[in-house]
Amino acid sequence: MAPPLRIDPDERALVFAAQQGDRDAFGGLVRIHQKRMYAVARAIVLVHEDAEDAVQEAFVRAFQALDRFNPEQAFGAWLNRIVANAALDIARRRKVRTTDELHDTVADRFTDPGESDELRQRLTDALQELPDRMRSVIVLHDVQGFAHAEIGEMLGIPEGTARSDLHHARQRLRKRLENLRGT
Amino acid sequence: MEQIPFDNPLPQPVLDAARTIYAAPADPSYWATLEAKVMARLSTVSAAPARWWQVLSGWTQGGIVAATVALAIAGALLLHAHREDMQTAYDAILRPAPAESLAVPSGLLSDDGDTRGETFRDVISR
Repeated sequence: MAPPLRIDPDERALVFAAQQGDRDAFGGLVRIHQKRMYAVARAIVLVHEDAEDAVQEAFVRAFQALDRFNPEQAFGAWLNRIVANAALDIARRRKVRTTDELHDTVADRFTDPGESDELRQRLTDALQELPDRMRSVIVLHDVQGFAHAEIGEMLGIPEGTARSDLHHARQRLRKRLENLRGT
Repeated sequence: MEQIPFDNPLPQPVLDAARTIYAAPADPSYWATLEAKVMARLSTVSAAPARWWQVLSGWTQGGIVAATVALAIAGALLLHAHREDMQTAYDAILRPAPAESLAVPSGLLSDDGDTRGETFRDVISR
């Protein structure tokens, strides 16, 4: 589940120090937020390597825009929007890949590449067939645990659209997996 | 409470499989490495240049002190100048006007009868 995006006093102090040019303070912010940012990026791009690139790019963009961040706002939510944009940029660039290439890279996830069962393979294929935004919404919601409003903000769509995308994505996955054992 | 279809979640095995597919790396060393990569990239970029209001805010403390000192000096100078003006005006009121300054030059008032007679005669003779 995504951690709540409250404003922590220690984090606010780190943000303030980072805004004054303290790179160690920014390193502290990287440590706090990198896992959640990876989760956001991973929901949008198809492969682990692209998610990592998106996280790095997002931190660079955040560092360069730090003077524009209002410390009274939730730093995590601000970062989520930045990493979502970075991931969407990468996803757009990856559109030039062929379907076969994508199929190979989706199956090549980070953990335990030896694991392979029918459900996972069928689900991987089904997720890949979803439109990009639908896939991002269902992964962000059902896998990463973000709320509709957060997803809408990250992807730049209305909350109602995020709900609708989730509904249609679930319908498509159900249909695609309906003959599978155990589902 | 009855679950409406709109919110009907996927079956648990599907969710579990999806979480496996999208699992983040669990090894702490991976995150330490990623942090190091981020910080290495940051060392090659510069933070956004300070904007004008930030520059001004940085000057605020020194600016306030300098402005206060400048105001104090200007105030003292103005007060001093004002006092001098007042003294000058006061002195001017009290000082009697010099008689010679209002006097007509003595040459103009001299009743030189010979000169006037000669002039009169010269005019009449023409």
